[in-house]
Amino acid sequence: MIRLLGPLLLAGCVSGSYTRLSVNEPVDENAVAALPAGADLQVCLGRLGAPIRVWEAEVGRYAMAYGWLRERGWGVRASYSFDNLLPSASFSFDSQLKRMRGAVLWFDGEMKLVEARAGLLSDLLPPRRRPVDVDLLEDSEG
Amino acid sequence: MNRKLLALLALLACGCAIARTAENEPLDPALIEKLVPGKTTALETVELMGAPVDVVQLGRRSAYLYRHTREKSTGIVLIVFNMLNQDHREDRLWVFFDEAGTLTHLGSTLEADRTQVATPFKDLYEQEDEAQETGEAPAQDEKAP
Repeated sequence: MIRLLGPLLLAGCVSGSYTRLSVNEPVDENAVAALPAGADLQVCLGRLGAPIRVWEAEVGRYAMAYGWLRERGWGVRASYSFDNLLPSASFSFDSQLKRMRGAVLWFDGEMKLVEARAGLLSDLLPPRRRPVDVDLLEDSEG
Repeated sequence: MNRKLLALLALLACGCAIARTAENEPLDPALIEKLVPGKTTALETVELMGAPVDVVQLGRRSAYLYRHTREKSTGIVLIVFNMLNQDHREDRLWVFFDEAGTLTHLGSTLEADRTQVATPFKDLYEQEDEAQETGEAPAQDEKAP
């Protein structure tokens, strides 16, 4: 067995890892829950700081997300390449975003808070979409 | 003999790595204080802060993102077993403009200088996170008033 595994292990084809990853400071979920409906965007920014993402959720409705991550865990990696002996230190922001805890706040066209929810961002974030054509705003407002 | 040789090779073929990466310049609180909602324009903001890293359309409004990221990593490479400890923090500033390009809202978070480096064995924030969850010692964040 060791004759089979030994060369694979030493060549880095199979390796174990333990990774700790920390991204941003935790979002205060109590502060999120304490935000009153109708609160102005500036009040929310003052209490929670700058979000990690802002986007147009739908016509006349905007959203912003706060997120943080603390991960630690064991892993096993199998590879046929000799290029990467180090565990990968790079990451895709989008995939990391979905593993984050945090909060999403929704605002109306006047930038007043409509809804605030805390939890896993993968449960809160909608799929990405293009901003609407501003001409559609006149139709929806009119 | 094979087992001893393998164990010896595994011990010898090890290494460690320390990495620091940063993206963009740190955000200057003194410059952020010069941004006045209702007065500062988008042009003045760009003249003061430089080009944003992201511009988001919000209907007829817009929002600009300024961000500085800092990351510190340590790793131990034992070939057959690797450990990594990585800390990633950011300075962020979001500025919101109305249709006329006048600043309406802004929010900042400045925490990049709290990025820490630690051995892969050390948990950087375990005690801090637990304290915050129990409400014993809330984290002190630097945020815009």
